Amino acid sequence: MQESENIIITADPFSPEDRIAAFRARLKNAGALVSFTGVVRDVASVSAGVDEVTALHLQHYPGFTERQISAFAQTALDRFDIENFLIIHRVGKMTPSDPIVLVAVAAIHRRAAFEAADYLMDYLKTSAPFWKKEMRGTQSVWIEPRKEDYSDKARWKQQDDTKDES
Amino acid sequence: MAHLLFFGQFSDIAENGEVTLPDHVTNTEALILWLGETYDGFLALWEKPGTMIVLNHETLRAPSPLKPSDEIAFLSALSGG
Repeated sequence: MQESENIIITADPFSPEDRIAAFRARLKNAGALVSFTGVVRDVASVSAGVDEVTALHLQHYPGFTERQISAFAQTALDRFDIENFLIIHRVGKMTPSDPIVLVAVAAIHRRAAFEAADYLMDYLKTSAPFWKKEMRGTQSVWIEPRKEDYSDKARWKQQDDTKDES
Repeated sequence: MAHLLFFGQFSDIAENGEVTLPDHVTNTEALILWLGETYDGFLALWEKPGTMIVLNHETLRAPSPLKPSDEIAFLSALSGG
């Protein structure tokens, strides 16, 4: 696994609380620290209702995935007035309730930290090079982003377009 | 030897590995056709929206010549994290 200080892709379980504490210890001027932890769900939405999820397998493309995330994270640094960020993403086999992703953002003021964390998550949910396969009983199903994930991501472009018009 | 990698749904039908490409496979278009002959369902999957080729860690926007030492990755539609 490739690892940098800010972007970590790992097959090992991680403790979001420990990672946030370590991230916080590195900060200098931040007055706000926002974090989001995503966990593996135990149910999946299907047309007939819900299915129990027994495991999740997550693939990435070593080296490429980190570089793509890093390039996008740079846009967050350019766009928001933040001091630092941390992205940790699990790959490999996970089970329900395992933390799958942690995004933490530190800034002098809270608004930038909230928005940058939201922005980074919208990217990770739709455009980061990961592939998820849910195990539902004896079946396995490749997962694609939901419509809501795409519309969440589109908000940022709409903001940009509005700024351009004004 | 070319290094072929398959991600997402491609990984269900094709195996990663070092491969000596046939002499006629000198570009990505020929590679796709050759993989279609090699793996059942490859071309149908390739036609799906969101698939991509990544050549030496660079996303391709158009067909490209290939060198024997290239790393070529086939990505099915991304799931996101």
